[in-house]
Amino acid sequence: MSVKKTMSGNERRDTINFYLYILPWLISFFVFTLYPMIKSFWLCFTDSDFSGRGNFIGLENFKRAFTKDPLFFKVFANTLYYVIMFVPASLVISFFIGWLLSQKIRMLGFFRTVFYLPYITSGVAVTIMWGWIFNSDYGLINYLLSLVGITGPKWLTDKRTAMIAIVIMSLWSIGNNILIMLAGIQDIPATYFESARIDGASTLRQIFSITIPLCTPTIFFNLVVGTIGAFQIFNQPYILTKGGPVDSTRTVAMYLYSNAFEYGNMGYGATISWCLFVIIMFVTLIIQGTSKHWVFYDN
Amino acid sequence: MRFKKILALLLVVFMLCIATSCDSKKTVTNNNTKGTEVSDDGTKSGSKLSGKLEIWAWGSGIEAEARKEAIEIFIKNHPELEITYSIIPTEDSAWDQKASAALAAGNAADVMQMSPDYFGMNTDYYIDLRPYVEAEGVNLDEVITPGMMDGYYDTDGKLEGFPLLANCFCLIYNKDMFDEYGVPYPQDGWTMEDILDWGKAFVGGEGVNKTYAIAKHWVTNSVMVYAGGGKPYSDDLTTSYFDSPEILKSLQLYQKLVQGGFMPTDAAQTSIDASTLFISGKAAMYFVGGMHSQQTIMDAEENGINIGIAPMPRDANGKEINIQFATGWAITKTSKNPDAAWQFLKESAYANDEMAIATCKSGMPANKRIAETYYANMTYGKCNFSNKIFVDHMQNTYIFPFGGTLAPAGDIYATMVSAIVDDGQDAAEVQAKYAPQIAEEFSKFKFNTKRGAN
Repeated sequence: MSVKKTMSGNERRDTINFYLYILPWLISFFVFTLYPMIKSFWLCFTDSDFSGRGNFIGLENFKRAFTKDPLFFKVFANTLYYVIMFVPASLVISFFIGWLLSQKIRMLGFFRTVFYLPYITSGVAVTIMWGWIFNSDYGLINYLLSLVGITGPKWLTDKRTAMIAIVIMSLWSIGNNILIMLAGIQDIPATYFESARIDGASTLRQIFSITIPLCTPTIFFNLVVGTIGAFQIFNQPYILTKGGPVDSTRTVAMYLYSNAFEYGNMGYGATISWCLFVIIMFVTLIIQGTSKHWVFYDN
Repeated sequence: MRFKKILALLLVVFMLCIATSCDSKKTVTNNNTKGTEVSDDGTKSGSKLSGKLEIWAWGSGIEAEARKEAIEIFIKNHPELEITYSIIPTEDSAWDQKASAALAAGNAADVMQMSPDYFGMNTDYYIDLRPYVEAEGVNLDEVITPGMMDGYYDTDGKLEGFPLLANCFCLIYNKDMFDEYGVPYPQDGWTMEDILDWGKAFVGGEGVNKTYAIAKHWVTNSVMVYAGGGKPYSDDLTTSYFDSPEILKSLQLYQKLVQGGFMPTDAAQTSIDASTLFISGKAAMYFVGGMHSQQTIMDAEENGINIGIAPMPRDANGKEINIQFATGWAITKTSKNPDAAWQFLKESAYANDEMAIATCKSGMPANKRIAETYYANMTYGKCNFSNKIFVDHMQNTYIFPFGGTLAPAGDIYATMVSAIVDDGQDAAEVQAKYAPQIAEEFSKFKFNTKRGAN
């Protein structure tokens, strides 16, 4: 026997209110996220220009990407290179600085502010500033190196160092990762450390046996978010190197931007963006899949 | 609760303000239908015109100001027309996207700004202007600044657009550096290859004290493509010549200039741009365009630099290498008032001196009379720099070879240059690798598609 549940007046009003309250978000989600996604997927199979109109060309864009376009694989390789260098480095550095900032030291507020400041500074301004720092003739880094007798590299115009320079610059702005890591570290109950100290555990042992394991949910979060963000790297190489030298810093996001918004090949631009989406999803799923082996939740 | 309502209202107003201020759109309506005659050049105009006219232009800063001023003059002279106009920024491809979408959708303005070095040529969006020119019975050679008209003709002869203004380049040099090193001033007829000889004197120093023969202006890539005496592609735009021996010669010369320290690497100019190198006395020469000559000269002279002026270099065959950046107008096929649109194009180009003078703020006007008098007589700086040099050399220019539709080919060429001058790769190998890629891009370009369709 089934009982048909009817909503009371209050419940109905709550339901209506619920939908009314989320309506602005829903509208923006449909208009600015879902529709563009569906539209861009459709564009992959067309030769559309700026207007978004074009002819259906089947899998031609994918064929071009995988068989004819020499830059397609290069930009993915460049991006992967950046991700591999940036993400682990950002995790290690943000954890280390987060741990330092969790210690009871003088001027803690000052240091926390200092490390967070680059994150809230305009990305364009930061990039231009680093352009000066990396300038091989007039830059600060090469000047400092020259003081100890080292001739610095041509950071931004040598294809061996250009991406490294971009990684270094990106690492300067990981204030948010540090803040999240700090919150994760501070969330660990102090009693664990007290017990460890009583048992004679060194600081290093405490870090490896308590802090890191209990911080793995935070590390996992930073890893996923950082990886997704790193795959979409755009501003720094776009402003600093324009993808050069010899396309060594041309990333996927830059390449899809050029195709879609500079050359007017919306169809091909959409194809590149969907390839990027698939790769990001694949990598994220791998990280998610491995998490059960190394992420520990204290509950 | 009331506070929240007020806050919400303010937010809505704020959003509306943002939405409506995305471009500087202005509507001018005048119900006077009598019409007037504009006869500053002796031609009768405006008397039969009526109806609406919509104009879309691009620009920002001084360019937008000049554009606005010229359009306002036209509006003032044509109260019989109901004219609306928008000046859309070019930054972040805003113009490209908005204009292209509107053109494709068939709801673009009657008059659209366009350029022969940009998107617009070889399309089916614009009407052929030849019948209007023929009906006017005007000899364009007599009224349009020499060198500004040719670029607007399609490869099939269609006149896609009509010129408004253009800018080209000349060489400015630091007389003090030339005097100090005992190098004769460059004379008309100098070549980029010559720099390998007398330019050595300027190459020296380390780090912040490094000096160069010539700063690497952003137009240098385009200049260098012609330096070997060749061309990047055929005149009818059907064939890429990037695999030619002349282009190889250009690339090899470029490599020698950069690797020999005559010209800075991109490394030196990542944060210090070419003009700064010149105005700070670290580069003896600099290509300066009409669009920024005044500022560069004033800045350099403020730093105590004595400036000399010379024409642009010649190629291996003795032809001047000068690059033209041009801006014009076109009439869309969907225009409901092409006669009024043509009146605007005509006055912008040659039939309204007041509009041409307003245009002088952002470049050399297409109006020959004003270009050769008012614009050419504009002088500035202690060196008494005169715009006449631009007027005299405009007819020797190449349209910017990598604009708009040709940008993908230009990007591949930039990669070639980077591989050769930054990475030190062998020029012949680089050419063999990238020239076919440019040829491949060429085969996909719209104008070839159009030709095929025809």
